[in-house]
Amino acid sequence: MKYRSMDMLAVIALTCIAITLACTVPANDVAVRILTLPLVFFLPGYALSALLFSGQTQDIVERVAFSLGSSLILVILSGLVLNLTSDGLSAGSWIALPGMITLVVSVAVLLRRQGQNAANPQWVGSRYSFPTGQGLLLALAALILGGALALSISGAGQQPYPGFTQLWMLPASGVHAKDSVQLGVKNMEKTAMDYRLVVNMGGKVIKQWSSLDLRVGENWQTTLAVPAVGQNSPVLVEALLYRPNTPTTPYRHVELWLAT
Amino acid sequence: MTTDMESMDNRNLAGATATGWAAWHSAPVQEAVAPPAATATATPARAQTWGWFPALSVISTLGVLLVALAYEGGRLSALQWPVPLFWCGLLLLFVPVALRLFSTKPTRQERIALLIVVTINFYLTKYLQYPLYFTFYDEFLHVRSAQDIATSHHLFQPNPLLPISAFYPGLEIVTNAVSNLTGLSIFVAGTLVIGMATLLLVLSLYLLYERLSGSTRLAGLATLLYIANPGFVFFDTMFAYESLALPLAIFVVFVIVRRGSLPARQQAALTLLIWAGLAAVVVTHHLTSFALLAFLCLWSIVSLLLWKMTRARQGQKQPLLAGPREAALVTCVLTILWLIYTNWQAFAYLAPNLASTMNQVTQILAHKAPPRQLFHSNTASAGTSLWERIAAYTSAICILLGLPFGLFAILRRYRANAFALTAGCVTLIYPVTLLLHLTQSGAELANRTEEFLFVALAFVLAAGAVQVLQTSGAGRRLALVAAVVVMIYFGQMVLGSGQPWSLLPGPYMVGADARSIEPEGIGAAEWASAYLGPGHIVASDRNNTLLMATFGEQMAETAGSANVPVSWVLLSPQFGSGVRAILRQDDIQYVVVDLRLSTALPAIGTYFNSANLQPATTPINRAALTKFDGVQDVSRIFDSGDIIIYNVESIARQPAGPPPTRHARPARPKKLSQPVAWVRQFYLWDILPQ
Repeated sequence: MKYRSMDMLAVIALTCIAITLACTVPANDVAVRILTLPLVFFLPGYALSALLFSGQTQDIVERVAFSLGSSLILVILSGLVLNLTSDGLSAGSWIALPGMITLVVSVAVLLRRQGQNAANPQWVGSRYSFPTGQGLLLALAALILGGALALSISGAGQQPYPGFTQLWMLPASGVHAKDSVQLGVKNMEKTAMDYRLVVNMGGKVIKQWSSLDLRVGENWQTTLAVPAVGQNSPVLVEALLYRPNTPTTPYRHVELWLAT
Repeated sequence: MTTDMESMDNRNLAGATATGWAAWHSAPVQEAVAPPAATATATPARAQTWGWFPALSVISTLGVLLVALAYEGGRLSALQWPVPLFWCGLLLLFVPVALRLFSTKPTRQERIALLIVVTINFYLTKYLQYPLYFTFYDEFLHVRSAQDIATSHHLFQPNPLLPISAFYPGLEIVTNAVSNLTGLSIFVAGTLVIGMATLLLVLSLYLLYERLSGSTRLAGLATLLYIANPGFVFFDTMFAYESLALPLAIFVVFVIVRRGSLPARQQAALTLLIWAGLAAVVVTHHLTSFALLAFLCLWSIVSLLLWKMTRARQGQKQPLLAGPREAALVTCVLTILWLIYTNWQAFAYLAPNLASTMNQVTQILAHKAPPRQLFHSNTASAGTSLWERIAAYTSAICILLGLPFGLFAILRRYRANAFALTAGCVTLIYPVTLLLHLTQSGAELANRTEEFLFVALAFVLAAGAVQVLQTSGAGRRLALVAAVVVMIYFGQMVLGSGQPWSLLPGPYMVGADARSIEPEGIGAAEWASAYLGPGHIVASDRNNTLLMATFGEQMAETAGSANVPVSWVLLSPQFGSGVRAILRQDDIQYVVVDLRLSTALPAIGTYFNSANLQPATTPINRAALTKFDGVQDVSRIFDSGDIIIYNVESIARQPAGPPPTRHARPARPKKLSQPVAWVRQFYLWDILPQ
C-alpha cells in the first residue's frame, strides 16, 4: 500500500520543498530557486492525472504528457483567477495557488487509493536505465550539446559590433529644473576613450571638460548649472563631445531648449 | 525481433480496420507498447530496449554542433562555409534518426526517445541562433505583454505593439509564473516555457497518432513528418502565443481520443480536464482556438455520419459513444464568450488579412492583377537561390504525390475511424494553401495554416508510407520512401527558413528584424527606460519601435496604436506643418531616429510596421532623418552616433497654448556595462523593474 503511493508522497514532498524554497530563498538566488520549476511544469499535472486515472495504469510517456499538459492548463487558469485578486500575479500568489492545488489533489489521490488494489506505477523499476556503454554515449551527446551551448552563448556575447559612445542632456529635476541641466557620457567603444566635452549656451562656451577619461562601459554624468534664462524666448543649450584625434569635429552632439 | 515487431504493426493496423468504431476508442496500444519480454541477462535486454538511441543521439547532437558552428561563422561574418555547414547540420540532426524510425526494429521506447532527442535538438537550433535575448519580431510583441504583467501584476494591460496580445495572455501567464517562482528573466523563463510546450506537442502528437493507428512505427513516422513542417522549427519555437496554444490544442485532442478508452465513470473526470484545456487554448491564442473549433466540428460531423452509416448497415441500434461533439460545443461557447469579453478584437485583427486575401484572389481570377511571383524578393536582399527553389518545389510535389497514397491507406485501413477520415478531409486543404502563395496576403495566411494542417497531413502521409512499406519489395520501397521524406523535410526547412540573410546571425542590417537588433539600439532603449522613465509616447522605425517598447518600456507608436501613421514623421523631407500635425494628433513626446536607415533599403521590404505601406524602393534621405536638428523647441537629447532621440513634446502641445508640463525627468540609472554583466542581465530577473 505504502509503496503504491510513493509517487504521491514524493509529489507532496517536492511541492513542500518548492514552496519552502520560493518563500525563503531570495529571488536573485536563481541556482536554488530553479528547483521550484516542477511547481509550474509537472507537479500539479501529475497529481491531477493521478486523480483522473485512479485505478488505471498509465505508461510513463502518457503520464509525462498528462503531467506537463495538465500543469500548463492549471497554471493558465490559475493566472486568470489570480488576476481577480488584489495581489494579482505576484510571487506570493504564484507560490500559494499552484502549491495548494497540488497538495489538495495529492491528498485526494492518497485518500482515494486507500483500499484500492491498483498496480504499482508502471515506470518504477530498472527498465529505463542504460548499460554502461550506452550511458557513456548519452553522456557524450550531453557534452556535445553543452559545447554547442557554450559556443553560442560566448559567441553571441562577444559578437563584433561597432563600438559607440552615448552623449545625453536633460533638464535637471527638482527646484533647479530651470537653471541646470544633466549631462552624461557613456563609453561603449572597444577601448578606453579620452573625450573633450564643451557646453555652449546662446553661442558662448559656459563649461568645458578637457579630459573625460572613460574606461570601456564606464558612465559619467553631472549636473551643470546654467546662467539664468531670459524672459522672452527659450534658450538653446548645446553640448559637443570631441575625440582627441578629431579635436575640431564634434563626435557627438546634443542640444536642449530651456523654456523661459 | 524484427518479424515480431513488423507483425505487431500489421496486426494493429488490421485490428483498427476490423473493429471499426471500437478501434479509436480502444486502440490496441497496450500490445504495441509492450516491452520485449524479460531475458535472463538484464544488460542485453536494456540495450535492446534503447537500441540505437544513444548512438543516434550523439550523431544528432553533432548536427546541433555544426549548426552552432555555422552561427558562429555568421557572427564572425565568414562568407563561404557557414550556410553549407548549417544545412549539413540540419540534415545530420534529422536524417539518421528518420532512417532509424523507418525501420521496424526500434521498440516504442527507442522511437519516443529518438523523437524527444530530435525535438530538443531542433529547439536548440533556434535558441542557439540568438541565445542572449529575444530577437524575432513576434517575440518582442509578447515580451511587452509579459513585461506589463510583471510590472503591474495584472493582465490585460495595453500593449502598443500588438494590442490583441494582451487579451490572449496564456503564454505570458505561464512565463510570469516561472519568472516569479525561479527569479529567471522573461527571456529564460519564456525559453523554458516554449521548450516545454514543444515537448508537450511532440509527446501528445505521438500518443495521438499511436492511439489512432495502434502502430508505433506509423506514430513515429507521422510525428517525424510533423517535425518536418516549416513552422515547427522556425515559427512555433518563437516566444509567441501560438507556440503554447498549439501544443495545448493537440494535447486536448489527444485527451478526447484517450477518453474513449476509459470506463464510463472516469470519462466524466477527463471531460473536466478537456473543458479546462479548451478554456486554456481559447485564452491563449485566437487563431488556434478557431482552428481547433473548426476541426472539432468537422470531426463531430464525420463521427455522426459514420455512426448513422454503421447503424443503417448493421440494422441495429448502435450507441453513440462519447466523441468530440461536446468538446466542439464547449469550444464554440468559450470562444464566443472570450470574443465578447475582448470586444471582438480578434475579428478586427484577422479580418483585414482575410479580406485582403480574398480581394487579391478575386483580382487574380479576374485577370486584373498578376499572381505573386514565387521566391521573388521585392527587397534589397538577395533572392532565394536556384537549389533552394528546387528543394522547396520538390518538397511540395512529394507531399502532393504522397497524398493519394495516404488517402488510399486511410480509406483502406481506417475507414471506420472518424478521426482518420477527418484528417483525410483536412489534407485536401493543402493544395489550396499552395495556391494561396500566389497572393501576397494569402502567402502569410498559408504559412500560418501549415502548423495546423501538418497535424493531419503528417498522419495521412505516414499512413501512406507504412502502407507502401508493407507491400512486397520492401527494400527498394524503403529507400524510396526514405528519400521522399528527406526531400519533404529538406524542402520544408528551406521554405521555413525565409530569406537567406535571416538564416544565420551576423552583422547589423537595415530593416532586417533579428539582424537589426544590436547593442547600440538596445543601449538607446535602455537609456530611455533609465533616464526618461517608462510610458512616454515614442515614434520610430520598425525595429527601434520594438526596442523602445520592450527594453525601453515606452508606449511606442505603431500603425495599430497611432491615430495617424507615424511613418511620415521620419519620411517627410522637411519639418513642416504636416509633421507638426501628426506629432500633435498622436501626442508624440519623443522621436527616435536611426540614421542607418539612410544607408540601405530595408531587408524585409519596409522601414515601418504598417501593413499598408508599399515596399521601399529607395533608402530614406538622410536630410529627412536629420530635419529635426535646429528646429526651435525640438531638443536633441540623446546621440549615440547612429541613433538620435529628439524631444518633440513642445511641438505636440503647441496648439493648447501653455508650455509643456511633462518634461523628462532623469531617473536613477541602471548599472549596465561590463561584458559579463551585460550577458548576465539577460538571464536574471534584475533586467526587469521590481
